[in-house]
Amino acid sequence: MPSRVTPSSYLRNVLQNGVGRYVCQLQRVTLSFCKSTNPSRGARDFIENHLLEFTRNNPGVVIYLDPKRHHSPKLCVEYLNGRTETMSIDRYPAEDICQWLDHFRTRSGVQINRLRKNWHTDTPSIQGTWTPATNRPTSWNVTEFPCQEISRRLPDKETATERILSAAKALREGSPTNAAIGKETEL
Amino acid sequence: DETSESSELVEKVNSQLNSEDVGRLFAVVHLGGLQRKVTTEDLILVGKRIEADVGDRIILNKVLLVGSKDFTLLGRPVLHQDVVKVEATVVEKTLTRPIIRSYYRRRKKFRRFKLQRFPQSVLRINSIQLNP
Repeated sequence: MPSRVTPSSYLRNVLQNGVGRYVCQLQRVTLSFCKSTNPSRGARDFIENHLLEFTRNNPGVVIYLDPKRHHSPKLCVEYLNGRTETMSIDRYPAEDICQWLDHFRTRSGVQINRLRKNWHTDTPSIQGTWTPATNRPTSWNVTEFPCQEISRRLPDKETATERILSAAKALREGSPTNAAIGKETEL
Repeated sequence: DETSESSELVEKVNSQLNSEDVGRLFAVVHLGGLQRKVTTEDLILVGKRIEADVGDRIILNKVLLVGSKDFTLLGRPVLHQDVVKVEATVVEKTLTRPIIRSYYRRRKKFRRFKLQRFPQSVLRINSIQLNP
């Protein structure tokens, strides 16, 4: 599917999580597996070797073990916002299950979509939105445009044309001090 | 008179910096190869996996600019750590949606279809402090 027609959303998180303290959004994990068949071997390995470590590190997460005879293993996770995600872990090794469980632990539970923006803010501007009128003299409010006085070129450095003209004028007047040009050549 | 004007301006900014209340601040931070404009309680998405665990508070060191209502401090290119401190919490570490990589060569019976997911992290900006 092209990205134009996939469902999209804006960047968000659950309530104001992280403003004060961070609350882990993963609440319940149900691991269903078979005690005898081969596709659940990784799941059984995970339960034997890695599960207790995970529960020790995350006391806020409940884990249910659900043996189902001759069923393929599944991981069902529930988040604080009420969303549930199910994932098949058929023939997954124990290390992969560890990794996916860690992925679910670090998620906020909001649906994964195409994101339209990678930034969310409640205060888009602090100094105010820029307009052509910002930092301009207020007298311009009552001036009628086009105005000769305001539109004139600001006195900058002498241009090359002006310098040549002034030198030519000096020559014409009979004082052969081509100082302006001489200065330039020295530089 | 230009120098006196500028020194007056600098005095004004310094007096604001030394006062307790400067109002809400914003900052431009360099993060993950991008420059992001942030203020407190913002969420920003980083297209990379951050090593810190979720819930950890990190300091964003590369601050290019800090601004308040009345003044802006520009770094050349970054502001010193004594001037400003931007703190953020890692709120989420996820993957993107499956992105389709599909390509084929016509008349050659060649067709490939891949689904890719990339790591992502979401940060919540906690505080922007002047003279921390």
